[in-house]
Amino acid sequence: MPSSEEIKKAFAELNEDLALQLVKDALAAKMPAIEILTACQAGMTEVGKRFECQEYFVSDLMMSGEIFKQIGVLLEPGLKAGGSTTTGKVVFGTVKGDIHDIGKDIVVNMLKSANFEVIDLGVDVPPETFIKALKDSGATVVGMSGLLTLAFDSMKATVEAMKAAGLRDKVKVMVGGGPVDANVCKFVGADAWGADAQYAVTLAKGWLAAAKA
Amino acid sequence: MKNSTETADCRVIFQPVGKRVVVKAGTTLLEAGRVAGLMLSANCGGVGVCGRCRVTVVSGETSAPSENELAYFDSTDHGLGDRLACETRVASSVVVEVPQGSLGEGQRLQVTGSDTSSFAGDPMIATHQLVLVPPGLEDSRSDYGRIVDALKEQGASIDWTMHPETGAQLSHLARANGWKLTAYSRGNELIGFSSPNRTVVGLAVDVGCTKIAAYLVDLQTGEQLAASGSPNPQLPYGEDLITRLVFASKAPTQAELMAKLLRDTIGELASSLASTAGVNLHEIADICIVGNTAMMHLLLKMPVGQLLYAPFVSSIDRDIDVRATELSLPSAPGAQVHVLPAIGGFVGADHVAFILSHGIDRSSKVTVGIDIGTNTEIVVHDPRNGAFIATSVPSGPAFEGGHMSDGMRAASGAIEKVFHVDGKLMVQTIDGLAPVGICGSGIIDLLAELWRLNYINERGHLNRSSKYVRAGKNGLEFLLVPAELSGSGRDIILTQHDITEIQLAKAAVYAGIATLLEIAGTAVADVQEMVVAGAFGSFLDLSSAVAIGLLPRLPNATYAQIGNAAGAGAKLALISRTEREQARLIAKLVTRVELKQHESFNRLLARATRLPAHLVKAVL
Repeated sequence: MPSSEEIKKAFAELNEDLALQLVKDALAAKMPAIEILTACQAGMTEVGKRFECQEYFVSDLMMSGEIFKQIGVLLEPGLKAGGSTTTGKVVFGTVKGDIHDIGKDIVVNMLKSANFEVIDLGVDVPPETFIKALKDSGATVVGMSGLLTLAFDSMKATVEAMKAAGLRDKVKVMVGGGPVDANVCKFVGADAWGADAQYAVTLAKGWLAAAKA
Repeated sequence: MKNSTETADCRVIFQPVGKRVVVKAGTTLLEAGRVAGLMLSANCGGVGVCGRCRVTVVSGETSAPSENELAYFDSTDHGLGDRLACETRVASSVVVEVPQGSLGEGQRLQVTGSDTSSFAGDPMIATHQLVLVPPGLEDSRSDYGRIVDALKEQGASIDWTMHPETGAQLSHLARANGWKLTAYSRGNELIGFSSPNRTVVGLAVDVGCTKIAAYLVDLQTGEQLAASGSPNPQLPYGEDLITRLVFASKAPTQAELMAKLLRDTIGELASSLASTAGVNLHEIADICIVGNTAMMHLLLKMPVGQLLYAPFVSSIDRDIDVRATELSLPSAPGAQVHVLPAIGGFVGADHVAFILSHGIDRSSKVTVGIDIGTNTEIVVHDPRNGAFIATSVPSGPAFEGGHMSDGMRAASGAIEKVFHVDGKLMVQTIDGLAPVGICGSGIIDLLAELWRLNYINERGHLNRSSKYVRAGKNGLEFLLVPAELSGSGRDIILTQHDITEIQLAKAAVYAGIATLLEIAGTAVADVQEMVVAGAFGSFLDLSSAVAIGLLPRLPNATYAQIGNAAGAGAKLALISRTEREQARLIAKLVTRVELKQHESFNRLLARATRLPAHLVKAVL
């Protein structure tokens, strides 16, 4: 049976073929899905660290997300059976009028690998869909992504809709995407903004820890 | 205490060449230009008297106009931002437009396209040589009546219509030319006149995001009389389409300005072409324009707000005819502008023209056609199963030298080729000048060489122990040309960040092609022809493009670089009614595909960021 360390290493090195093979071998050898997931999450954390110290780059994050997605499919049956617990719930989507999903997918995968349950609403998501997802899931963190400058109007409208629905003081809102900065964050009325995917994970962890404390 | 504004870093962007540089506040634009390696003219040596370094400050703060400048310009020029580069000191980040006349050397613009080889001889315009009877006391027919009767004598018994402006031209020219005239007609409309025994010409235009190419063609022979290009005058308002669309969508006056800039430039190109070819502007009896969706919307002042949001809906995507005078284009008074149809979304009229010019629609070969730019349009035609699909992928400005530390457009002094001899990298620049930056083709070559020589690994990471790889301000960087050998006095480098940008751009193109092939149900090995169009595509070294995985390795295909295919298509549709009809058919036949709706695109995209040893194994 492959060791957790081997799986983590193959993942961190973004060796797609090897990582997938090791996961398959581990499942075949009856290694619990949750253990394999933990190993992959450790690998993803390593990828995030290397990204922060500029050893890895955006293209590597895309690749790590891609590998994680495939492993997720392999592990899903085992995880469901095991009834694993998550760190918390996050609702995420690219806002109405914008269909950029590369950055959004990276963040979603990073969050998933950090053990969050992510309700991924996809792209071109209208405010009412965000509201419904927040109500249905009871998530307390929401992330909005957008690359077009006009997406900022959609982000603002979504935050307004949260206010109207009486949700605004119950959820923390983060925004991100190429041109998003502190000014945009203020304009749309979000709580925080992130320049990269790794920071989104830091934000979500911090908020949920603060809520528990 | 030091005044902080004096030492602040200011970014200066020179348009249209797209050269950027960071200088201290207080630096003159002339000095900034020199640092950037821009050959600004300064005959007087930069003391504010010769006026050769005239520029326009489009945005940003600068010093107040000097006495020399006040003496040189009148107050309206100042209102427009006109300045002398040698007298103007930057106070913030600025965007400066440098007119062609203020540059020692011009930007290389591609205007050649595959020739209009198959001339069908069926132009929209008919030409008639007429000799009229002058009016007399017994003959008080109208000027119009004389023309109609003369045409009837030649067997053209038609209920001719005529616009009052054409009528005015007729009355003037008939008297000035002793009642002998050349007449131009389109359908049943008389659209213009010239002196006797003159030919008839048409204007074909391709409006690109960075440049406009124009061609003057003899409509009777199909022969190209003159060709010329000009930078897109909208560049100072945004390098990318979206910025310009946003600008135009904010206020009607701004939409007006965007349209006027294009129309004026096309008009200027027409004038210079006419003078080169020795024809008169009123002998331009037909105009055919192609361009990407954004440009056609801006040119025709169609609404653009809806183009900015998904699902990116066009206003009108069929072909459009408008009177040339409505666009203020110089021509025969009744001439029309024909704008080719678009396929839909951002797959525009220029792509239809590309398909038309290379006959991809009529070819029996399985063909992939691609026009690489800030947006890359791709078409796949598989005549075996009838699949004919196209898409547009955002590939970013990296291929045009944008967003690169030392990137620039293909202008004098740009490194256009990089190759190695005995493991040593060599560069070749445009016009053989000392290098000042790298343009798109050079960037692709450079990445290919870095990959071949193991300066980078398959994930594009620079090898930090390699010679010439060093720690820079923003991470690792590769030193290509040291300061002492460059034309700017600064090192020319490629940073790790630049490499990532190119990887993302080339991955989008590669994944776009692979996804379209998948949707078409066409195997990579079945592709018989790969056609690469556009300026960047023509100067691109194909082996470098395949080496870095910008283009797929197609084992059974021939690769062709066909130049400005959109311009060539515009010429075809200009000279031939049949080709114009075919363009309409192409727009109907080709189905636009939205790649985002296909799961495999993102899957392929992540892998395609790698360099191809992996690609050949995992994707192809």
